[in-house]
Amino acid sequence: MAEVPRILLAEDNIDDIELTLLAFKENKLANNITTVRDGEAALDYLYCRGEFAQRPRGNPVLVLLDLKMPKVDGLEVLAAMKKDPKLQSIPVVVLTSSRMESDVVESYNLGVNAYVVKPVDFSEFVNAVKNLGIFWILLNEPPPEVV
Amino acid sequence: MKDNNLDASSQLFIKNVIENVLVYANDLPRFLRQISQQLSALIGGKTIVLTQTSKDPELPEKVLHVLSHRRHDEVEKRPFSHILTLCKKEKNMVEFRCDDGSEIGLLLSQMGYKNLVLMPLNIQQQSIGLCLFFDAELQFNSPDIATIQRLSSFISSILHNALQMNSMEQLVTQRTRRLLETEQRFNAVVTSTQEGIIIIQDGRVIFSNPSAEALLGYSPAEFLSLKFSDIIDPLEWEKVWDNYVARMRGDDIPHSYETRIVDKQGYVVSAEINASVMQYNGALAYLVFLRDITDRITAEQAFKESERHLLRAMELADLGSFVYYVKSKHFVCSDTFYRLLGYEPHSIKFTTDILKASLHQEEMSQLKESVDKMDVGDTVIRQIPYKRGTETRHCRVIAEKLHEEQTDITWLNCIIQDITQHAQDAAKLEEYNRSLEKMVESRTKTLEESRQALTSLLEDSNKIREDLEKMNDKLLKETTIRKRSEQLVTLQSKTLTALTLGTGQKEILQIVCDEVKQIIPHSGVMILREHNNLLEPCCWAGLTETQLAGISEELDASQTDLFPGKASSVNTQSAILSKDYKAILQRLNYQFCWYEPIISKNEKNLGVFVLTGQKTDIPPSYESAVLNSGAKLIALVLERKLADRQEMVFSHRLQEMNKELEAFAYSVSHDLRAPLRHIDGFTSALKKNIVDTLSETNRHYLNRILESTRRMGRLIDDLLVFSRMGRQPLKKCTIDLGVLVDSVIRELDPDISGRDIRWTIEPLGTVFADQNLLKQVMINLISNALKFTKTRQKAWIHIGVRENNLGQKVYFVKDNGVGFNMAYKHKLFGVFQRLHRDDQFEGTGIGLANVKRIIKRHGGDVMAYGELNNGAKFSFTLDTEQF
Repeated sequence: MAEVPRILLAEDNIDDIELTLLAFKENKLANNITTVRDGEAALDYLYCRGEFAQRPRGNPVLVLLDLKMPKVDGLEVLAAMKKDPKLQSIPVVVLTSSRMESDVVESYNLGVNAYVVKPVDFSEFVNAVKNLGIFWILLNEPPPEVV
Repeated sequence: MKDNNLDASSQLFIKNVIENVLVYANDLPRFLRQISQQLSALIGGKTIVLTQTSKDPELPEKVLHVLSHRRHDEVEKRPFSHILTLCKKEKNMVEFRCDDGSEIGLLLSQMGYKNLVLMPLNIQQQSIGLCLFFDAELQFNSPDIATIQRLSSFISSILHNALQMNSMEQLVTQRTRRLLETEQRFNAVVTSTQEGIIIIQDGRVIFSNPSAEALLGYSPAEFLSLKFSDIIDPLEWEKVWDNYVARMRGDDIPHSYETRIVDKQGYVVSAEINASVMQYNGALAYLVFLRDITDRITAEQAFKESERHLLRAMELADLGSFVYYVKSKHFVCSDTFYRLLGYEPHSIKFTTDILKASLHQEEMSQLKESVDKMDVGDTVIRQIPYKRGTETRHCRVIAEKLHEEQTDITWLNCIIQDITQHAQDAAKLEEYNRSLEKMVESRTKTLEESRQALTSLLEDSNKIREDLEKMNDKLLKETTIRKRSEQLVTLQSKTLTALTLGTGQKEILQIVCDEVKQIIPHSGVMILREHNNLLEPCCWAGLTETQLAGISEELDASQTDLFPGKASSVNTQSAILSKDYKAILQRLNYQFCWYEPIISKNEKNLGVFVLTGQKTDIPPSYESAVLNSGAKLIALVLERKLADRQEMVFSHRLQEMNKELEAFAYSVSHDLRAPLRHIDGFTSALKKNIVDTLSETNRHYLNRILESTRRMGRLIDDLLVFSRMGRQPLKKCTIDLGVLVDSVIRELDPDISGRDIRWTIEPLGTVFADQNLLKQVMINLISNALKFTKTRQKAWIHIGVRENNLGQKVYFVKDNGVGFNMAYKHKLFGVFQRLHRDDQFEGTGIGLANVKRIIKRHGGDVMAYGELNNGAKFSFTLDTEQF
């Protein structure tokens, strides 16, 4: 039986996906990341439907969300997750290039666990991913699984 | 004394006892203690116990006294009392030893004594006690024993005497105590009884009890100076005296009888006397029990109380009073009465003779006559002269005759008022009246003369009055004018206030109509507004629907008359409507109708202001002035409201533009930064993978790519901050600029540490601004100053405030840094405009652009002054308005 992927990354830009995975790899955290390209796919994954109907059951330990995505955007995904008792306990980190105050405020209002603005400097980004991984994946004790 | 051969020490003992100890004979314990001390001194420190023989043969001897006992508590112990019981049998002097094998010997050794000498004390072969000598150490020697034996009869006799004296004394004490108790009981009875008790001896009072004192009103001391007759009604005295004499003689007569007694004040009270004879101080005395048989002591006390108040009141009113008992012919007089007659109160006993001395012969006999004629209940009032010393005075006497059945007492109540002063006053008044009459007479004459003079004067004054009235009218008119101008000011201020408060256009126009209606009574007011070249009623006051319709109708028909020619050439002067309108006015029952066109600043016709009404006393010039002001105000309101609407449209458009800008900023933030990140990310990855294989030049190229991307990232971030700066709403509050500067300098510490900087910071006071934005300004200016002084060995930064010639406060930050060429001054505040190369002084060129934008938003201005290589000074002002 395959191990449950532990991190879900929702990001539409292929360059960003590659760089993010690179950053995770640099920090040796890249083994368990599933990537989706829009908000709809992210929700499909979380609810095990559509292309993810057959995926092994279980919630990811962390969701990394880009805000600006086609179809369903990051804030909508966040809102849906925090409304659902089964999903609301999954830590969500918004990973975006937007510094818009309204985005930050809205994200926190919806109950995001962290908001990270991707720095232009790649080494800084690698560092940020490292800290993120250490805290949310290694240190944080996930809540008991809701079935 | 059996033995006369007493040695010297024994003689001394006897002498001591007789001289020093016998004085204590009445204090038995002390007496015995003294004897024991003397004995102890004589024998030599032995333990001595004196005992007394009990009257009861069954009981052991009572211990009288124990002296110098080794252990005093032993006296209370069993071996000791056992010894006493055993010794009681002995009739002669005996000596016991602890080792003699006797029972006492055994007890002695138990108590720790070596021996005991026992000496019985006898008087006539009767035992009165024992004297015991204990010794713990040595045996008694024979001279001691002999001495004791010789002294035994002496000790016996003085002890006997002392005991007898003691018992006598006890007896006396007992008797005295009983006597004292009897006396206390007697006293208690005498003091607490309700009945008055007095004792008479030789016709004088020698004792009284509290009840007698209360009944008659004398103090105990006063009682003792009284004769028996002093307290008896003189009419009764004979009867009482007879009884007294018979009683003292021992005749068998009844003990009690009724009579009348007199108290200290002279009041007569019916009383029952219960008399008996007794021994007092070895002589016969007359014991009298007094009882107030009217049985109204309490009532009387209340009466006396109220009488005292009455007397006091009379005293205050200077009214004298006395009571005269007709039969006994005695007087009871008030203090004031004494004073009226010139005597010290109660200094003499008042009698008919004294009264006679105070009155003229004639007056006295008249008074007597009228008193005799009086019946009980009659009242007589008379004014009579009397004498006070040598002075003749006048008084008013009010007398009332009264009688009491029960006691058969008749008396006169008299009140005397001195009226000498009244009489004198009356005489004076009469004199005064006479002179007054004379004066009135002469004055009347004078008055008549003046009246005539006045009449002629009055005629003149009528003329003056007319002149005055005319002047008054003129004044009134002026006042009206002033009042009207005030009304106009009120109209203006009300309209402008409404405008300032943002009241709606329609409401303000209505206010104008209502106000004008108030100013011109009985008027109709209407505003007509131009709409598509037609006039339509917009607001009105004081007009009914019918009148309104009538005016509108007429106006519709006469548009051309109201606006001859084009709107721009409208005659701005007010004018009376043309003759054609007289008919309309009549039909509408108006007597006048004014109109005034409402003209905008740019000569555009906005409408007409109409004023119609009945004829009033208001001058036409005023009506037209009101109309004129009204029309101008209306034009102002309409124009302002139009401007407001235009401004609203403009601001709405501005908001839309801001939103667009925001969207743009968002796209810059997100879309522009993303590819930049990717370039940086992939270049970094590439660099990491191939850095080892690259030549120095290629590595340099890679580094330049990375640096450029990062720099572009910073530029984008700064641009975002700049755009945000312009969009954030201002949150103004009062800020202490000094505190703000301090906090900025603290934040810039990383740039400061390790440098030699001289700071000059003046007191800056407070400003009204947006805290965050103003802080951004200070950060930019101060960090610039720090940046451009970096090449100076000793930097100097001066922050202060000056006032410019407009009275504005100009804040500045000045440094001694590299400065700038004033020729490029205009480039300082542009976005991304820089005067230095990046490798000289890093920066994106947005800081001062931000400063300018923030200051502009605060309604202020920024200025820069610099000299190449000689420092720079940046200053700014802020809008001082708080709202």
